[in-house]
Amino acid sequence: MSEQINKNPNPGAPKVDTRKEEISKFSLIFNKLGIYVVVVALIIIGLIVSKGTFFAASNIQSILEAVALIGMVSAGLIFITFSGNMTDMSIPLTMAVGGMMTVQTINFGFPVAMLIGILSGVVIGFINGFMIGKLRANPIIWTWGFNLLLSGIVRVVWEGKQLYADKVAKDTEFAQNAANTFFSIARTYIGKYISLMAIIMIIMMIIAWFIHAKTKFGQKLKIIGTNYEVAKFSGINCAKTLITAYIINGVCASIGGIFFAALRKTASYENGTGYDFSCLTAVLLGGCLLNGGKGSVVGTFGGVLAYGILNNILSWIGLGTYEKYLVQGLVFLFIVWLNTYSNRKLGRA
Amino acid sequence: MGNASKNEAYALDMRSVSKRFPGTLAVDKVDFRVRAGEVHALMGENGAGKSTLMKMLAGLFNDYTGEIYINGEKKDLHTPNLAKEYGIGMVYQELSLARRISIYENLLVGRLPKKNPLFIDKKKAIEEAKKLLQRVGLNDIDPTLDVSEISQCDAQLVEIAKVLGSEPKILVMDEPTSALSSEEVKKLFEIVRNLQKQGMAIVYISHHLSEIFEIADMVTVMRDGKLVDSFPISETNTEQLVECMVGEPVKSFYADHKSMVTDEEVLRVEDFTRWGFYHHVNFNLHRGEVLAICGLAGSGRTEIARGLTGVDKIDGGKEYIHGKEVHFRDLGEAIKGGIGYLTEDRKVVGLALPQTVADNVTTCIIDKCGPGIVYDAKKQNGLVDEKINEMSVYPADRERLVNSFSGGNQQKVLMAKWLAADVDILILDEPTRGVDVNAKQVIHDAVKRYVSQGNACILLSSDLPEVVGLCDRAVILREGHIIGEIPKEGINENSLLIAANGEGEYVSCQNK
Amino acid sequence: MKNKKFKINANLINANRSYLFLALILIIGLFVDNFYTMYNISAATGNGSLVIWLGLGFTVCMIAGHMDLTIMYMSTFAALLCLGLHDKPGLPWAVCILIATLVGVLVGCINGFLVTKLNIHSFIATLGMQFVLKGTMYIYTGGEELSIGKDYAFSDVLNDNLVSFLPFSTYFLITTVVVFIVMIVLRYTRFGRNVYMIGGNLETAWLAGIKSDRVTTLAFVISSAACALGGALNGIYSGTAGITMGEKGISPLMIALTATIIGGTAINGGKGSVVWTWVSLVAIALLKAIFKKTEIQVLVIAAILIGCIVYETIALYNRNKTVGTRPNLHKEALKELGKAS
Repeated sequence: MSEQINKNPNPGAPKVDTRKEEISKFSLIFNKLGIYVVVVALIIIGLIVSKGTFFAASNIQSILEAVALIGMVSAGLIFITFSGNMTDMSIPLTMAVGGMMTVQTINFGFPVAMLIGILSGVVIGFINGFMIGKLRANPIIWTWGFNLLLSGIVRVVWEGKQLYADKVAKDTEFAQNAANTFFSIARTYIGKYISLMAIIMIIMMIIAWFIHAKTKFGQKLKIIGTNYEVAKFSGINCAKTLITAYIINGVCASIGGIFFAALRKTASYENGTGYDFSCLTAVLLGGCLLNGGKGSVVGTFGGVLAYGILNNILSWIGLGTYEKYLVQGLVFLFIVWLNTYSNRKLGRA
Repeated sequence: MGNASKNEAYALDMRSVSKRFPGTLAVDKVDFRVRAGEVHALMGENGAGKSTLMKMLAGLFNDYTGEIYINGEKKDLHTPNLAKEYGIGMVYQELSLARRISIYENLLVGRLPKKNPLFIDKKKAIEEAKKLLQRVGLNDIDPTLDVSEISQCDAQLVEIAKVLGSEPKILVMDEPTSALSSEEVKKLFEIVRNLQKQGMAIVYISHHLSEIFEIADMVTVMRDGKLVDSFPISETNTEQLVECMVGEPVKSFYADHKSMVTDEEVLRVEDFTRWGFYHHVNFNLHRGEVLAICGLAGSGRTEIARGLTGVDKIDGGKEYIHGKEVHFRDLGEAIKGGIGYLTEDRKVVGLALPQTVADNVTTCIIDKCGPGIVYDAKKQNGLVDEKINEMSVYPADRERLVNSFSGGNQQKVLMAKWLAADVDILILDEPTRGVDVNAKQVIHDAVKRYVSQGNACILLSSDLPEVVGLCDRAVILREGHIIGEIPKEGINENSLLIAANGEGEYVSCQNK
Repeated sequence: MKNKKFKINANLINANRSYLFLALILIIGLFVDNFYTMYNISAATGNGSLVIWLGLGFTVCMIAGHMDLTIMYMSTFAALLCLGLHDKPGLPWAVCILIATLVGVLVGCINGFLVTKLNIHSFIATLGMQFVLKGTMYIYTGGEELSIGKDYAFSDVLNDNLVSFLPFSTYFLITTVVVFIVMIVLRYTRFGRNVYMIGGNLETAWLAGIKSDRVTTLAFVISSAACALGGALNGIYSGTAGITMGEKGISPLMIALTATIIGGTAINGGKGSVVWTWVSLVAIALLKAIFKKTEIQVLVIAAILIGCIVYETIALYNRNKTVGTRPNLHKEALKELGKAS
C-alpha cells in the first residue's frame, strides 16, 4: 500500500533521485553480463555431476543442438520483449508453419523451399506487427489467439498430418537431392563437435546483435520499449518499427522451425510446442526486462547457453522430461521475480 | 447550523501544515480555516501548492507536518480511509471512476448496502444511487448504465455524487468544472449552494475567476507553497485578486527581452478544426517571434499543438509553413517539415527516463545518426555534449540515466532534445512546469537564443510571468476558439488572466 | 441518422454475442443428422464440462484484471490426485475430492502471492506455475495414466442423467449449478462487486478502501479451486486421468480463453460474466458435436476468437480517437455539420 501512496505526490515536483546508486549495486548481481557468471558456475556444476565427462563430444553436441534451436528463436524474440510487448505466443506455430512450408515446397529445390519457409515467417510477423504496432491490440491475447488460428489453418490444410520431406519430394533426382539436403542441414558437423546449426545460430545472434545495438531501428525500438508515448511524441514511426520487429521475430522463428523440421525429419503443427516458454526464459535469463527497453543480444546468448546447460545438468542428475518442468518452472519464476524486482528499482513497475 | 458564531470551532482548521517533496517545500507552514456552511475558494497559479494541500487533507500523504483539526478535534489524516471517516470528501481533478462498471456501483463503491450478511441489496443500492444522482440533478440517468455509456460531463457530476454519498462534512472540489459545459456549471453551482445551506464546508479550487465570484464566500490565495492572504469575496474584485495571485512583478527576473520579430511569416494556420476540440482557429507566426497561446485548462491549446504537428488527425483547415501548405501524418513528418513539439509531461510523454541522456537527446534525430541503417552513437556525442552544455545540464554526463537527474535537469535534457532536433518552429507546452528557478532561467535563455537564431516559438504556458517575460504576442483561446489577441505592449499578468476568462479589452470575438 | 440506428444494433449484437453464438449452433444443429438426440446432447455437454470449469476460473480472474494459465494443469493434477488417492490408500470419494480441491486452494494462494506480493505480471507468473504443476504431477504419478479400478458406482452416478427426460448428465448439472453459484457470488455479494471494481479501476478500489490484494488472491483461489474440483469430478466422470489430458486436440486453455472473450468479458477486466462464458462453452461443446473433425473445430473456434479480438481492438482504436471532446464544442460541431449536410 505504501507504494501507492508514494505514487500520488505532485508529479511536477522536482526530485533528487538516489536510485542510481541502488541500480549500480543491484546490477552487480544482475546485469546483462552477469549471466556469464551463471554460465561458468553451471559448467562447474556440470563437471561435478557428470564426473568430468561434461566436455565429452556427445555431451557438447547435445547441448549445442538443444541450444541452437532455442538460440535461433530467441535471437528474434528479444526484439519483441525489448519493444515492451512481453512475449510472442505465436512462436510455436510460426516455427511449425516455417517447417511445413519448406517441406511442402521442397520440389522447387532446397534454397527456394527455405526462402518460402522464411517468407511465411515474414507474413506472420507482418500481421502480428500490424495488429499490435498499428492497431494496438493486446500483444499477449492477440498472438495467443493468432497462434490458435494458425494452428487451425495448418491442421485443416494438411489435415492434421505430418509431412516427410522424402515422401513429399517427387521421384526426380533433383527433388530427392533437395530432400536430402534438407535433412542434412541439421546433421552437418564442422570439425568434430560443432554442428552447422550451432554456427547458424551464432551467425543469427551476431546479426541480431548488429541490428539491436548498431542500427537506427534498434535505437528506435529501445525508445519504444522504454515508453511508447515518448517514442510517439519524438517523431518515431512506432507502427513501422514494431512491424519490423515482429517481422524479424517471425523470420527467426521460421528459421528455427525449418531446422527443427530437418532435425526431426518431419514437419507438423506440433513442432514448435514449448518454444514460446523456453525462449522467453532464455531471453529473461539474459537480463532483458519484461517491460521492455533494457536487454542485449549478448546477454540473451548467455541466457540461451545457461538454459541449455541447466537442462543438460538436470539430465545428468537423472531427471526425466516432466521432472525437468518443475525445475524449469521454478527457475522461470525466480528469474521473473528478479526481473520485476529490478524493474521496480528502476522505478517503472 | 449554518450560522456560525465567532466562538464556534471551524469545520476545518489546518495549522501551519507543511509538506516536503524531495527538493522542494510544496506547502510551507500554511494555516487554512474553513467554517461550516461556507464556500471557500482556494486560488493560486499552477504549482502554488493548492493541490498538494488538498491531497494532504484527503489523506494521501503520511508524512506531512503540522496539525489538522476537524470540528475542533485534532486528527491524523494518514490514509484515504481515515480522511473519509473524519468526513472529508474529495472530488479529484481527474476522474476516479471505473469506466466499465455501472454507475450505481461506482457511486457506492466499498459500501454497497446488504440485504443479509451474504448478499448485497441491489434494489436498495439502485434507489440510493438514484437519490444521490438527484442530488446532483441527474434525474433521468439510469444508474445501471456503465460509466462509459454516459457523457463526460455527466460522469463528472457522478463523481461529485459519489463523494456526496459518503456524507462528508467537508467537501473539496479540485477544478470540478473542467469537463462541464456552461449549462452544467450552472447546475453544479445550484448543487453547491444547496450543500452550503445544509451546513457543509466546501473548498473550491478553480482557475476561473468568474466562477469564484459567483460561488465563493471566502477566498484564500496561495503562492509558492505559502499562504498569501485570506479575505471575504465581497471585499475584493478581479483586479485585486489577480494582483494577489501574481504577487510582486518579477520584472528583474526576465531581463529585458529584445524583440527579434521580423516580417517574414513562417507559419500560418487557417480555419484549423478538429471537431469537439477546437474550431476554426486562425493565427500566424513570424520569424524570431515567441507567440503565446493563452487559455485556461481545457481550452484546447494542447490539442492544437497536437494537430499542428500531425499527432492527431485534423478535420479541416490549412497549415502553411514558409508559405507552403503542409499536411503531416505523424510527428516524424512534422519534424522533417521543420516543426517540433516539446510535450507537456516529461515523465509520461517527454523523456525515456530509464535511458541515458545521449539516448534521449538523439531521440528525434535517430534517422540522421550515421549512414544508411547504421546508428552511430559515437558520431552524435559531439552534438549531445554541445546541447547539454548549452542547456548546462548538471552533471554534464551523457552516459548517465535520466531518472537519476533532478526535475529541473530532466527538463533541461528535454529542451536539449528538441534543440538537437534542428527544427525552425518549436511548440513549447509548459516548458518549465515544476522546475526550480535556476532551470527556468536556463530554459528561458535557451528559448531567447533559439528565436534570435532566426527561428520561432509557440509557447503554451500557465505560468503567467513566463508568458509576460518571453512572449512577443499572445492569442487568447477559450473553449476551443481564438477570442482575441494581445500585442507585446499589452501583455501583463492581469490582462492575460482577465482575457483568458473571456473579459477585458482584448477580447474581440463574438464568442462571449 | 441511419448511422446511429446501425450503431445501436451493433451494440445490442455485441452485448449478447454469446447467446447469438449458442442460437447459431442450435440452428445449425437442426441440419445435422442425429444431433438432437438424448445421447448426443448428454455426451457433448458432459464431455464439455471440464472446459466449463476452466472457463469459470479464467473468467473470474479476467474480471479481476488478471490471467490464470494454471487452470488446465490444475484440473489435470486434481483428477490425478483424486483417482490416485482413491486407488492407493482407498480414501472415499468425498475425501479425495476435498483434498484435490484444497490443493487447488493452495495453488490459488501461491498464484495470488506471486501476483500481489511479488508484483509479477499474472500472465507470466501463471505461465511459470503451469510448469511447476506439470512437473509436480509427474513426480506424483510417474507419468502413468490412472484409471478407476473397479469402483464405478460414483462414476455411473455422474454419467447418468439426473432427470431422466433431460439430456444432461449429473456432472454437467453439477457444473452448471456451481457456475450459477459463482455468478451469484460475483453479482450479489460485496466481494463479487469488489472483484469487478479492482478489475475496472484499481485506484478507485484502493481509494474506496477495498483490500485489493486480498480480493485478487481470492479471485485466484476461486479459479484454482473450481478447476481442481472440476478436474477431480472429471476424473471420476471419465474414469481415467493422464498427464497429457489437456494436450491432445485443441488445448482446453485456449477454449477457455476463447469462450471468455466471445462471452464479452473485457480483456483488461471489470466487465464480464461467468454465465456468458458458460453459454459460449455450451455452444462450443455442441459445436464439437457438429464438427467431428478436430481440425475443423480448431479452425472454427480460432476464427471466432480472432474475429472477437479484432472487433474489440478496432473498436478501442476508434474510441481512443475521440477521448477528451469538449461538450460545448461537440454540440457546436454537430450543429455545423448538420448545416453542411
